[in-house]
Amino acid sequence: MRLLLVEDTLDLAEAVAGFLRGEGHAVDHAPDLATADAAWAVADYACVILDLGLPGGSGLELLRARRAAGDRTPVLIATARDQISDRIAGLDAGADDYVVKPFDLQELAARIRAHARRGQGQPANRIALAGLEIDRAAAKVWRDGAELRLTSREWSVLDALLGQRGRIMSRPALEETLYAFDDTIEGNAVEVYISRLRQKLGPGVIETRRGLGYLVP
Amino acid sequence: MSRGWSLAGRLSRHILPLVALGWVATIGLVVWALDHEIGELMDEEMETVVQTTILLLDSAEHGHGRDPIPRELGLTPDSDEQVLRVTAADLPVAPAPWGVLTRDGFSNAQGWRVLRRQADGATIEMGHSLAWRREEVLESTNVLVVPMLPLLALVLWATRRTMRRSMSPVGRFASEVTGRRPDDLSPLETGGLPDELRPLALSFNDFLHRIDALRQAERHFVANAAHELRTPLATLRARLETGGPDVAAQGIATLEALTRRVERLLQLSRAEAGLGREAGEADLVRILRLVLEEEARHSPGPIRLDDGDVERLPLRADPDALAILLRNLIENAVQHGIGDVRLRLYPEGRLTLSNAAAPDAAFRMAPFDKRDGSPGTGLGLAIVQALAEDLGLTPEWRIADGRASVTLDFAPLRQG
Repeated sequence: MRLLLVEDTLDLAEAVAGFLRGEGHAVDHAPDLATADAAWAVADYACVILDLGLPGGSGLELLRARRAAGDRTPVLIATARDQISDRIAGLDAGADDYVVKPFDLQELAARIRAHARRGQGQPANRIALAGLEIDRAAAKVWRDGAELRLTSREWSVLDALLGQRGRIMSRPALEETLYAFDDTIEGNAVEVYISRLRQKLGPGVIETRRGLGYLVP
Repeated sequence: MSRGWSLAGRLSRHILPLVALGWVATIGLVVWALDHEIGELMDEEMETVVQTTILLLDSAEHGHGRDPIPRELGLTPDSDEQVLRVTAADLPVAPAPWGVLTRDGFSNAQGWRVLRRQADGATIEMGHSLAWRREEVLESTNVLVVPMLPLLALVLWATRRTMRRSMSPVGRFASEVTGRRPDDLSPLETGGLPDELRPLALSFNDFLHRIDALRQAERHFVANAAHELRTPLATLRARLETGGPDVAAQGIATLEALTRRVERLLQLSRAEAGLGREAGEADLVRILRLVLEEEARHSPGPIRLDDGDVERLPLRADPDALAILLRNLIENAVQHGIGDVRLRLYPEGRLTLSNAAAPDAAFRMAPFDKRDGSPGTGLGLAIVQALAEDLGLTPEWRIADGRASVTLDFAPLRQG
């Protein structure tokens, strides 16, 4: 999934972004309001992790502006403001969730996945597909009770296709979910991940529509 | 539980008796005046009757010789109200309710007011029963007083009603205040209030405004303090969760940053609690040297002190407050300056601290006000301001010719 992390404390942003990248997500980091606004306006994020006290203004202002413009991207506020009135203000401004610093990164990742799924209209965690059992919340896949080992990138590709289940995803659309602004996109990376996934998951899970893209039926 | 008292009740208890007493006194005065005037009127009437009698006697003597002296002049001799007695030397004395009078003029005798006049060969005495005169006065008084009693009651009722209506804004004002939710700090409506209450309402509104400002400031402070404390904790936790080769070094760096923030918050708390107002004695030179020794260890650039050959400068000030003030000034200069830091102490007690400053440098005094991306806490100069104010110092802040400087005049705090 492609995520936008809006956080002005560079040490924290570095640690959180590093963790989420390790989970297979593409993470764009915005250290201030203007950068966040610009990134949010051009990229299609699965979820935005938003701090509130930012150089240039409040994260709530940005959130309200995006919601007013009709943007429905799931937003998870991650802030040091722990008072209930702050939480209410955040949710009223259009946030989907609210975590208070310091937070558990595993929990943060789980919440991001849950909100991203809801954003895709697929709140269910467990999916049965072509003899596979897939837990999107835990990012795990089993066949006949045995867990299949997927790399974080492989999981990201599968998760992106599951998020658009029944619809074709073009290669650029898949690249969009895999790479952040600063990442170098390798020309055939998507094909490589699709190929590896097919080997691990077996036939009938990912279909190719020549000239159009890929889909999970 | 003790019973309260009301303004309306107290005013009623004080004003209504006064009004009633005033009315009664006025009526009494009127009755007294009436008595006096009626007395005079009746005396004049007696005088008139007597003079008329004398004229009649004179005309009787000159016209008809020794005609009998008239005994009745329209007055009933046996009347218990008015009696006229004319006595001639050669005639028997008719009986009268009063005794023998020896001199002319008015006199009171045996319940009668009598006027005695001598004429040629006769004595004329005209008497009014005092009881009758009092009765006449009483009748006149009744005509005056009886209609006044309901009027007095009306005045008392109107006074009480006016007082209650006048006091109603007080009741409404009290109801508006007591009926408020605890979190309602909106100003009171002062439009319909009398001049006596408006200053109270305006003061109350001012008080509410200050409470609201303090509450906002507290919320702002808590939010900022939470940010300052929780963010390094979040960083530390994230570092520890993600691991990596530098996790220990990064963790220690984060802990140091957190420690600085906690220290600053505690300093601000102590400063705002009035640390600078505490009594004490402190040698500015010694404290300055101690603080400089500590700060020089962490400063990337030189910190120079020109002590002006002052060996001691005893001040009436709390040493902790002085040390915190100086430390924050120096750290601010080291952290936000772009070159050397210079301190100069003058023998009269002035201290100037200056540092090379960036073109966009500014003194940020409000708590948590800091430049975007600044590694500081945004508390240093707020602490300095709070302490300086309590110490009675007025820092002179200046940015000119590429240098930022602050001058503190400690002379008023010098001992001896």
